[in-house]
This record gives sequence, structure tokens and C-alpha cells, in this order.
Amino acid sequence: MGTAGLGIRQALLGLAALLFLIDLYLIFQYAPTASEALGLQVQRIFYFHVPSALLGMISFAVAATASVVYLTKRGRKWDRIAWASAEVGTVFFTVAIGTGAIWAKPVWQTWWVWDVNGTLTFMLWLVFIGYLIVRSYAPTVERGSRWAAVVAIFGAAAVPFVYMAADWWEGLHTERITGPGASGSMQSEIFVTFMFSLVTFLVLFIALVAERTAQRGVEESIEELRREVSA
Amino acid sequence: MNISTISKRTRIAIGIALVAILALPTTVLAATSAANEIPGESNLGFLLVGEIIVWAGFFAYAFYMSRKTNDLRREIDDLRAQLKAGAPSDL
Amino acid sequence: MKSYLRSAVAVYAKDMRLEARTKETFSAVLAFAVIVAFVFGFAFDPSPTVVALVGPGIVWVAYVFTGILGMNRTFAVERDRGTLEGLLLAPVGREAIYAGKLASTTTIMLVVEVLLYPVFLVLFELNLFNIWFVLITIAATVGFSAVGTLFSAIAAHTRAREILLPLLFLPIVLPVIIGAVASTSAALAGDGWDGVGKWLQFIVAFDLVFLVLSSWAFDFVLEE
Repeated sequence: MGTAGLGIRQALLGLAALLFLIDLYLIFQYAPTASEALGLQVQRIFYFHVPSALLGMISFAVAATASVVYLTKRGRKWDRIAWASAEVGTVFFTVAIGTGAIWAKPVWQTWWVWDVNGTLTFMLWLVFIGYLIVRSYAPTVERGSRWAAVVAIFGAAAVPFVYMAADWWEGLHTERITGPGASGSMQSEIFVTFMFSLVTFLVLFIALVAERTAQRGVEESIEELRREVSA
Repeated sequence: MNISTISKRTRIAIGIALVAILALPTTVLAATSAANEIPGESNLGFLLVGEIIVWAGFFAYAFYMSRKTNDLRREIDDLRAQLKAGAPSDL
Repeated sequence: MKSYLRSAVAVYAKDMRLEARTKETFSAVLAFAVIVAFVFGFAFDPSPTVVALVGPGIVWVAYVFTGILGMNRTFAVERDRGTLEGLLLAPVGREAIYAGKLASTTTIMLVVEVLLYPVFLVLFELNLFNIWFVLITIAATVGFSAVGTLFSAIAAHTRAREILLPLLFLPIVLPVIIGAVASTSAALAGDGWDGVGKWLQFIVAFDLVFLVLSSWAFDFVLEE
């Protein structure tokens, strides 16, 4: 799992691109138009929004796990994977937050709702940003890796607490908003399109993380060479 | 990073992607107006913005990564030159 | 275990003696807290309905910002004066240093927070002299300190410590903030254990988890 070869990485990217083309067709042609309550056409954002948010969560889990392994076993490759996951995860979360706002405005007349998912997504997005910024301000790459790992682990530990607090808070303060797409059973076309989108985003995630991890490997080699040259 | 440095194959790929990204929602738009749904009610503007966010997000990251690769390549050339010169030149 | 306690108390005592003599951190934090309270006083019309709605939020926003200032100073001051190396070289376990620092930061914050009770009373007619609120204050402040002391150790070693501490700290302690505000509402409304209990237990659980986690992580953070 250290560094995937160029062939595999290119294959993954190619696969992701292909899946995306098919996904676009499914989202815009195959999936039925949603009801008025869900916003008609704009509901199609759901097929981008939910997979993005889910993949963001997955990337956080990967980053946190890699961080634990890095702190306990100290292999460089775990730090590479964690960093790559954090970067890619930030992109996914940003897309999720952006599409969430765009979907919410016409349907609920508000740009943002502090429901459980929204609060969790926003909080993890902030943790990821802190993770990346800590690295750039650290005096050495080693310390940056360690500090970032601590940040990721703390974020993961806080997740159940954030979930519970946001859930109780929502129960106290708002009438339950049944999220778009949470109503009843899904038509088969909607389900198929959603699952395909999820797979597409998953492949994209793996492809991007593999690419970025490999790139980190190259960066580390260069750092090492620089040290040798100026020694 | 200017257009000429992007390889022909990459340009073709990007072209196909852009066509797909723009064409498919446009066909939805056409179908919608054909079926007499009023665009404002179906919130097509929002849908388009949403889609742009998705693509802008991933393309931005892709460009960031390819720029990093370019920087890395330049650093490697730099180091090679330094090694050839035989002396640690950045002290 | 005994040496751990002794070392932690030693670190704590040193900080408290320093504070008693110079009152540096304490006065800065207290002044800031009062200013924040007054800014809120100007910003909000303190009618009873408004205060009932936003009062708990105001109190905890004030406490959180004040806490950030206090926690930043925990290690920033040591680092700037160069005493941090001395502390690390001492034959004292890292966990003990963390515990001592945690205790001194918490003490200062608690004192300032309690001193703010009359300020809130005067500005907002908000009566915080309530046993449940005191318990909430203690629990939440310990939670803030547990996380903040650790991140302060990180931030103190960087150039951007003023922004780094809040950025790292706030997402993690978000549950404590939510819990503190919700339970304060209940406490001030006179709900007693029924309304407050659930949240109080929640915050205490958070405290326990993060006290352990921060203690463990402290070593990794300070490693060269």
C-alpha cells in the first residue's frame, strides 16, 4: 500500500473519469424528476451532495486511522496517506457544503441548517483545515506530521460527542426537518443512480489519494536529497 | 501554467469532459421546457451553480496537484544541476 | 503515581506563585472578559425576552473567547521567555507538566469566570448565582482547558499562534459549547437536574475522554 505504481494510478483516474461520464448520464437523463417539495430539478444535486459528504467522512476515518498508526508505528507511508486523505477529504467536504447550501436555499429558503449532518460536516471540515494549516506552520516536517496526527485523532474522538450534542440540540430547537431523500422508499431509478454516484465518488477518492500519496513520496525524496546536497 | 504546456492528450480529455459536463444538464433544460415546466419553479439556476461547484472543486484540486508536480520536477532539475556543479550551492 | 502528583503540584504551584506575584495573565484575561461582556451589553438590548433567549449564548461566547486568550498564554509565555526548555529538561514526566499546566490554566479561568457573575448581573439582569450553573461552569472549563492546554503547546511553537489555537480548539470543544449553552438555559429556567443532568453528564464524559487523550498526546506534541 506504500506507493501505487504509475500504471495503477492512471488506471484508477481513467476509471473515475469513465464512471463520472456514465454518472452524469444517469443523474441528468435516467433519474426521474423529483417532486415539487424536493425542488424538482435542483434535487439532482442530491446525487453529488450526499456521496461527497459520505466520502468526506470516509476520508476522515482514513486520515484518523493512518494518524494513529503513524504515531504508534512511525512508518513514513502512514503520514503520506493521512495527509493525502486530509487534502482530498477537504475537497470533498467543501463540495458537500457548497452543494448542500445550493440545494437548501430553494427548497428550505435558508442557506444552511444546523442539523446533525450539517454540523458534523462543518466541524470535520474545520478540523481538516486545521490539520493542513498546522503542517505549514510547523518548524520541521517531522513535528508537523506529529501535530497533524494529534489533530486528526482529536477530531475523530470528538465526533461521537458532536453527533450527540447536535442531535439533542436539534431535538430541542427545531421541528425535525426530514431531509430531502429521507422520505419513504426510494424508487429503483433513484436508488441505482445514487449507488452509482457513490461508487463513482469512491473510485475518485481512491484515485486522488493514491496520486497525492505518490506525490508526497516524491516530495519526501526531494527533501532528503536537498539535505544531502547541502550537507 | 499556460495552455501550451498541457499535452494534446490531456487537452482532448478535458475537452470531452467539458462537453459532457455542459451538454447533459443542457439536455435536461431542453426537455424541461419542452414538457412545459417553468424553469424558475424547477430551480435550474441553482442546479447549474451546484454542478459548477462540484466540478470547480475537483478541477481546482487536480490543477493544484499538477502544479505541485511541475514544481517538483523543477526542484529535481535544480538538484541535478547542483550535483553536477559538485558544490552545495545554496549555502 | 506519587511522583507524578508531586511534580504536577510543583508545576501548578510555580504557576500560581508567579500569578500571585505578577497577576499578569489573570489581569489580562479578566480585563478582556469584562470588555467582551460590555461589548455584548452594547450590542444587545437587554430586555427580559431577549436575555432569556441569547443570555446563555452570550455568557459562553464570552467565556470561550476569554478562555482562548488565557490558554494561549499558558505556553506562549513559557516559550517566549525560554523557560519551556528548562521545564522540559527537569526530571519531571511530561504528563505531570501537562497536569500542572492544565490545573493552573483552569484555576485562572474559573476565577475570572466567577468574577464575571456580577458583571452579567449588572449588564443583563442575568442571575448566574445558581448551583447548577456553577457546576456547569466547572465542567465546561475543565473541558476547554483539557483540549486548549494541549493545543496551546502546539500553537506556542508556531508563528501564527493567535489564529492556530482557536482554529484547532473550537471544532473539538464544540460539543462542550453546545452542552454548556443548553444546560445553562435549563439551569437559569430553574429546571434543576431534570433539564441540566443529561448535559452535565455529557460534558463530564467529554472531560474524562479528553483529559486522558490530551495527557497521552502531550508527549508527542513536545517531541523534538
